[in-house]
Amino acid sequence: MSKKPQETAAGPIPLSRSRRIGSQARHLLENWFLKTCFPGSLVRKKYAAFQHLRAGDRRALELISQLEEIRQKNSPCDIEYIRHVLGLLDYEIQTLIEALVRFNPVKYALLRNYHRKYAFYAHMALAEDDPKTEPPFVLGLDEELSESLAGGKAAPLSRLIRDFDIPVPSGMVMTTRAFYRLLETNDLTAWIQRQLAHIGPNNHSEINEISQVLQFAITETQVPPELESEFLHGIKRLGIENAPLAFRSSAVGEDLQASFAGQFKTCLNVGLENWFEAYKQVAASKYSPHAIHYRMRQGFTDQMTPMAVLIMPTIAAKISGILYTRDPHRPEMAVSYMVLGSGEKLADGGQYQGRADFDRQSRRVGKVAPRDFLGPDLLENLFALGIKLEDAAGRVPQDVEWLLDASGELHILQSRPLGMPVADEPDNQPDYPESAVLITGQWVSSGQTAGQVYKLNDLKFISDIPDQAVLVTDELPPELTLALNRVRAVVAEKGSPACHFASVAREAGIPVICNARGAADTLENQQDVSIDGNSGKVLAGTFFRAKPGNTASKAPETPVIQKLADALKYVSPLTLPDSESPDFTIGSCRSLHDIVRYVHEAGVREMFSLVGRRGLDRYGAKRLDSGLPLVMHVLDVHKGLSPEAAGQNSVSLKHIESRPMHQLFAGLGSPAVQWNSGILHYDWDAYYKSSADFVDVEKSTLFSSYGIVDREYLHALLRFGYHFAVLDSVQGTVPEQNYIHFSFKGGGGSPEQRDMRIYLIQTILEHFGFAVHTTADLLEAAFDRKSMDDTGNGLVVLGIVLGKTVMLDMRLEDQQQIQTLARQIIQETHDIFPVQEKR
Amino acid sequence: MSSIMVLDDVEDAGAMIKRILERKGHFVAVFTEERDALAHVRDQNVDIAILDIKLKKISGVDVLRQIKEERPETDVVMLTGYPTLETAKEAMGYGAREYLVKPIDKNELEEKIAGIIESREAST
Repeated sequence: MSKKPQETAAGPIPLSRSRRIGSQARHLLENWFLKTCFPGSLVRKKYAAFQHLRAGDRRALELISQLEEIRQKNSPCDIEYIRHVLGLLDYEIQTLIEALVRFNPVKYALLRNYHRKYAFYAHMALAEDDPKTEPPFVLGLDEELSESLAGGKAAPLSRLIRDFDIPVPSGMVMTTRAFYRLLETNDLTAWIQRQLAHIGPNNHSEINEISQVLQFAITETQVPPELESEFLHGIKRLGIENAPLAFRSSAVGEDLQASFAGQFKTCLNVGLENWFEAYKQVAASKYSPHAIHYRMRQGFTDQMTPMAVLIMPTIAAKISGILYTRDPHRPEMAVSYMVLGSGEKLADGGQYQGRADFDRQSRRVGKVAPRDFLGPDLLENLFALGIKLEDAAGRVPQDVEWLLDASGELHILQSRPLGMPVADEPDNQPDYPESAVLITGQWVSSGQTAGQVYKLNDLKFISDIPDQAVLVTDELPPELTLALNRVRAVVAEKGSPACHFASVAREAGIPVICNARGAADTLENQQDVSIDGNSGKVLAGTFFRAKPGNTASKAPETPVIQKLADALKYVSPLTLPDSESPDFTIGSCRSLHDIVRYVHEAGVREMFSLVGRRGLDRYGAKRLDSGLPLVMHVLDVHKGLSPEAAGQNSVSLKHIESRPMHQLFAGLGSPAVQWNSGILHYDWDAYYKSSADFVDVEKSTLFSSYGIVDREYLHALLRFGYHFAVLDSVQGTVPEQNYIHFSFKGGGGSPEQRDMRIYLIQTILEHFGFAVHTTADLLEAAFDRKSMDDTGNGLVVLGIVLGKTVMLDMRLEDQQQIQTLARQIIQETHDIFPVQEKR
Repeated sequence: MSSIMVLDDVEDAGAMIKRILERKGHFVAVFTEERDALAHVRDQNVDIAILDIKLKKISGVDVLRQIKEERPETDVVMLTGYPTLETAKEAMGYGAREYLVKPIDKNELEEKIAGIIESREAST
């Protein structure tokens, strides 16, 4: 092959690569020596390299699919995991390239540069700035605070104090930089990244364990002296050395873009001598299981949500409460839920003891229950403060935490935008009979859905909650956030609309009902119920369309997914032209996928031209005359053909001694498969694109299917018209070593047709015991570690299925038709070959 | 038409960039010495500077810093054959606009330069 201009674009090779040139020269010399003196050992050497290529190719494609699947499904996972998968892909491609370079050291060396280039671009797209660890470590709430330094709780509070004269307790904040300095001093920054790399989209159950490890590591850290001195200085400046202190989280992202409500820890009544312990506990709660889970669901990276800690004197509360300046359920009203003493219990999903309404129009206090829970003057002050807070936020309804101290002063602890649900179903007259109502509770989060009951008796079983369940619980603790991506609705015996979980559920659009007394007794596990979150009703039977609980797939692309999408621009696209095109060059590779494909095609080509054209007689591929209208070539690497085939250009099935090849053709050629002899099967797409009119497609290897065979091994690439299947199988006497790996990529037709064809193949293969996995339009099936006979039967089935489905020119209409067709094909297969079904 | 400067002590790469960008109608000057390159940026109104990171005497990142100090309105593209995330983050931190990894691809080079010119025009 002549060198293409792109391949010379890198300029002269830098001196630092002289060692590599030396090794290339050695390779070259060795290849020449083997080729000349021992052609047989060269074939074996290349065959071994090819085996490497096959395994690496499959792994690389799986990793690419894995990344694409995360993006396509918007699957929550940590960006460190994505970086880790990309790193694995990098490694596989590097190995692939080195295996190919063994075929021809000079021709393929440039692949390394292209790999380096696109791998770098992909990693760069996922990269983030290094965390900042320089001062300031402590800032006063009376200073102007940015969210990036002071976090989402402290920064807005400083604005309320400075610009709006709201009664917020004096305090200070340990900045996000203090947090990163703590991690840096204790050598935790990179270590944490490595731990987070374990959290993929399908192993969320491991979050608990990882969370424990991370939190433990943070609570074991030593205080950097510069942090301690800034902290003590700050406390002195505020004059609160002797006050019991409150430590609250103030993470970036908390309370602003997304409600991290209740995900983090708070420490109250902390003495000065214990400050660092309290600080560490709050900081470590950045890695509590529900905080990690919630962050991933929102698609933030760990680094996008650094932790600042807000420190205030603890004020003894006579009454605490939550105020919604606009009741999400009754927009004309404001409402406050209250408890005696500290407000922790209320936020954690417990019961409220008092409630007060406020008419926003008339600015009057409405119903208060119990009537004298809080005096009318104080309530009026409270609501006036609420309106002021709403105005300060640009008339955005607020979710306000407040308390009343012993001297009768009101304090605002926090104010954040209230997630107002948009009712997606008109809240009209209910379209169900009153008799269907099983339980009436209280609104927490709007929406209507249906599903099967799952009663959660103990929080430790939270990972057992089945997908799409209607969850029935006692209360609404923040831990339930962990299950939020799996459930359709939540019904609680107790709880209140004012808890942290409620905010998160409303944001996620999951209907939630509280105070549903008797739910646990009345409802049975797996009972079909409907939930009307708007009116707080649980109904027997299905009255509403069951909306999947997990809204992640519909959600807009999260920051992590956006980063992944940017990275995939250098990973996914297949832009390399057909392998026979003159532009099929290393220089035309535009992505890692292109490089994988180039390596695969080049490897196959190297196998087909093992010792060049002159050696074709002795080592080249032979045309297979199978009696079927399928253009195919066979390359025997070791006893795959009978000795009589030697010296012939074409062979027939009787020459095949490769066991798996035999079985495959027993299926392809079985009476169940009706071949249309008027149509010849080769790679039509490649043929038409190549405009190679001069080529005799019946004889050329260019567009044909091929099989590389030894006695127990078959690697086949099957090109049926516009479809493309790869089959790789070992069928020997040792069951542990036997396998069938099959992949199929749907060619022509609309995406729906391809999906349906894949679904049809999947249904049949699963029936016969194949493990099938599909990603987009790629189907992969495996049949592993079976006896020689069972593996043989598997190959026969595969042959029949290929023959019957791949060439299917019928239009597939719907799932029902596919089911019928699948049953029909399964039956025909059974009739002809009484093979074992899946056990 | 934009004024573009390339600093690369491997002359082939500079010549290739010059050829590609001149065909797009830009004025391109290629240098192998950073002194000459910096003088050119100072004297001529260079819009875009393309700097190889690995120069014999000095790091391209140091040249980037000098350009950004003396003439911050110049957009800088870093060029390298052996990219690392550390250097890339460092260069981006000093205000590099783009990163171009060898082997140079004609389309990619044209697209990146066109993108920079577009946003320069939008900001004026």
